Amino acid sequence: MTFDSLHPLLKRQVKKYLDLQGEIPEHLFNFLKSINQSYSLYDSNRELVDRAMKLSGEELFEKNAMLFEEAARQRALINNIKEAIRTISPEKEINDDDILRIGEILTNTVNERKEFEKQIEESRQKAEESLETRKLFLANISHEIRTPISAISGMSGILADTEISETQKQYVNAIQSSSKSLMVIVNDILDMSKLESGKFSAEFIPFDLRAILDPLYTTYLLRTDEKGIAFSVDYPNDMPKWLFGDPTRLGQILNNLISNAIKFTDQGKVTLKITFDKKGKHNEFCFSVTDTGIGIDQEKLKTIFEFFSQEDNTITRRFGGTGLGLAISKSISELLGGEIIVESEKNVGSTFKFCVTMPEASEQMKKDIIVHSDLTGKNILIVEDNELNRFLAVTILKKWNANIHIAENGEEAVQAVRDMPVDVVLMDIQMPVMDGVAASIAIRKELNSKVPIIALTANALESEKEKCWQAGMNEYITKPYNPDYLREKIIFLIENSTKTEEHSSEHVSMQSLSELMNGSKEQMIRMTKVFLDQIDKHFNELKLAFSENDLDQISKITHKLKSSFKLFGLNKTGILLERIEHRAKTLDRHELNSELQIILSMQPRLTYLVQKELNQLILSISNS
Amino acid sequence: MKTEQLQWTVNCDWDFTNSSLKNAQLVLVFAGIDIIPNCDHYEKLHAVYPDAQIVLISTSGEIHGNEMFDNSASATAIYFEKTPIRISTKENIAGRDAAQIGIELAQELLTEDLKHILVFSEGGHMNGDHLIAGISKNLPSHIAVTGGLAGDSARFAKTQVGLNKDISENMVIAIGLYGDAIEVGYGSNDGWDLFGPLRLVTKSEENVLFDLDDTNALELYEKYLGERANELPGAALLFPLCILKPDGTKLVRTILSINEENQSMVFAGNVPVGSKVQFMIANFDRVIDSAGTAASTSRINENENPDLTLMVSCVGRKLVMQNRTEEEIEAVADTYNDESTFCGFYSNGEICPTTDGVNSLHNQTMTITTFKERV
Repeated sequence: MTFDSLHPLLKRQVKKYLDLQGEIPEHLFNFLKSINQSYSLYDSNRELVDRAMKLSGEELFEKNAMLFEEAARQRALINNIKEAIRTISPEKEINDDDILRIGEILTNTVNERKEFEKQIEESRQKAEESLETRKLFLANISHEIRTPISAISGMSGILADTEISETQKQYVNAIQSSSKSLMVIVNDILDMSKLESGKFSAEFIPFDLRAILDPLYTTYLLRTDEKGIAFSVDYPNDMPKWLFGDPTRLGQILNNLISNAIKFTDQGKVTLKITFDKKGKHNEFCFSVTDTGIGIDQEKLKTIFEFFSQEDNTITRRFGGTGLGLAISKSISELLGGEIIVESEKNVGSTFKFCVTMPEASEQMKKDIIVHSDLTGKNILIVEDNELNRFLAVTILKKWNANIHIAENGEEAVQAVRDMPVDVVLMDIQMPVMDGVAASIAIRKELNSKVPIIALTANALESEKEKCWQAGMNEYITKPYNPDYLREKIIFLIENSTKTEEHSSEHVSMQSLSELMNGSKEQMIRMTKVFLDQIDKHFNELKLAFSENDLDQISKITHKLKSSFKLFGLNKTGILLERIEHRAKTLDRHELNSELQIILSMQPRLTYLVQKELNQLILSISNS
Repeated sequence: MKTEQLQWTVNCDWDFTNSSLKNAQLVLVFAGIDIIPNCDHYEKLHAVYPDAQIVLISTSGEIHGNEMFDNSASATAIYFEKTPIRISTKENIAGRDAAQIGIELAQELLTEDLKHILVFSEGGHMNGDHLIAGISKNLPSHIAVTGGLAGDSARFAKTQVGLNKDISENMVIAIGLYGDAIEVGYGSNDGWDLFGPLRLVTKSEENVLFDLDDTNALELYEKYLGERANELPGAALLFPLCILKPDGTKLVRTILSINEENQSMVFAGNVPVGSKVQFMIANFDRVIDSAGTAASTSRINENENPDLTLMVSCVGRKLVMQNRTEEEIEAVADTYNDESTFCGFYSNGEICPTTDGVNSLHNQTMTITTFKERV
């Protein structure tokens, strides 16, 4: 450090007060060095401070400018309002009263907006109603079509078994295949409308998986042979036989996937492969249908599961189909707790795969299914005005060795029940002279008979179902029916006729609930909704516990449920639940299974009864 | 209480010729990070103080007497006449919940006659806010926690603390002082000036700051630093962040590191979303004066000076004051007329109760703990 290298200010000060130049004397060196450092440090710090102050000044200026702009906007707004008031009353100076007027203007604006919103809401409701009408129309139309088709299909089947010439056989085959394709289309449309209206539900019954797979193989082998392609169904030998699930829906998906695969494959092969993975009590089954067909464009893969979607319109022209099959299969697989996944390569082939969990059926259930396979000696009354349908029913029931009686209308049916022993009545609904509902009421009220009555109808409308329940009918099956399903229901009803009868007259009483809620309808609605959810949830749990033979869980669930049912006046069901709880606790398996089946079969009816009360409550509130 | 101080420098090894405090129970060693591995300080100190627990803390500058050194080791041997001490450590703390570490440390030290806790933690990754909250959680409110986070010569990478032979980048040490004989005073002050607009923290995760007023905080710092932005993160110490809490109290936060990748800044303590913050800038005189103010606050008794004065000052102050750094140490020593043993270090975070008595982590302060033993 020399005099010249000192900080300019220090240099001046040293020169002025110490009269120093050139070398710095030793005794001042450290002192001056320290001062020099301080001065330099101040300078560098000064730079930083200057910069910081300049920048923060700019930032504050920007923020001020923004505030100024905002203030200007506010002023303009106030001026606008004042201007508006002046327009309303030009002669008047603006004072405090004007603020009230502003309020008035604002209120009017808000009211106008509300009115507008109301109009929108009304038109939205109208749109929804028309959508509802469309769905009803679809359901109706498809049933109108289904009845004749099922007759054509059934009759031609019978015709094919008679002695006819080769040419005639060909014609019959043509009729059969045409009516089958027509039925597929109608069923697709009906399923779609059910899916859209949320009325599609899965069953939960014991079934033999191989009994679905083997017919699939036989059916499609014929078709693939004709096309000159290979077809195989592979499943592991150790696959469990008896399962708990929904065989009809499962078959529906597999049918759809296989027939699609065959449709789009001209050479090579179609394979249905089943694998299963044991996960504790549950088995995860994966079904994959692989083909070597035309494949699907990657871009289209996303949309093929949408309703009315085929890969493109040329497909419809070339291969036919409604474009509903995959969408329905997807929805059904979701209903069964699975999901369809597709992998495909154009001109190489496609694989559709879905996995569902199905528990193994318990020993007792298997026995139930195997033992009662025919109807020998049972008296079955068929009530049907349509000759073709009647003939079809007779032919089917004869196969199971039942004694068959015929009635052509309701009146004849009542007479028949009065005059002879009848184990089950199969009741058509729309008939001349006396319809099925009236006949059922007469059988229950006038004859005081508890004979099981199964409604067989082409109409799947809820309103009709409701009438059947009210008339005291025990079961409701839509035509065309699956013969095995019909047989199952007949057997079940005959076996449990006395027990089921007790509960078919069950009704809801809202009195206890009303007392509990001090008559508050809002509270009652809330409670009823909770109860509906409860039925849904706990019945599903009960099904699971039943399939797993979990007595502890069954007793817990029934214990939870029974008091709720009693609260809604459903005392018979309450008592039945109590009995099941007791049997589960005392390990009385003998009666438990059949009683559980009864209670599970009652779920739709119970839900319907409670829902009806809920609707009335809601209606009574909106009316008052 | 008796104390003696020894020093090791690159040019001058420990000299124990005048050492007389053979029965010291505690030796505090403050050392530059680079000189810790080279020499067997523990072996040498242990040979002279066989009964002592030797606690080592890496620093960004060692305070020895009223002077400041770099890359030295300063040892202060302490003999307590009537005060029992107990030491608790947690090792391998990386990835562990800092609050839980704190709770465990306090639990091991807490007895009815616990008087004070001194904490020295590694200062590279530790969330000091959480650590202190954890320590204080189950402590009676009259027990203060003071100390600091170790430094690493202002590199903000990895620090070290050690007890006896165990030296680690991954360790916290807590020293409990017990009984009625020991009296402890403490004080903390920063002296920085607030400037510029108040800003709102709009995006942060614990001690990682992303956005102020919905704009990137790192960009804002770079703008303010201008040419010195390439000296980040060290340069960010020139503009510490003052956090104004809703209750009116304020805490100063400095930057430990920056992350160019996600454009974030890591602070030495939490910067919660929704807090108002303001930039700070140094005025040398006020910064130096604040050290004197802290010393006055930490005075135990009006007419007597403490036996031992522990200074924990922020590395940020040192980086700003450069060769005037020692002036703040002198300001503290002046307050006690040079009549106390002065030791301490430049740290990555100072620990001391706030004015309303809540044990807290501070940045940019001179934090002083004074000790007096009644015999």
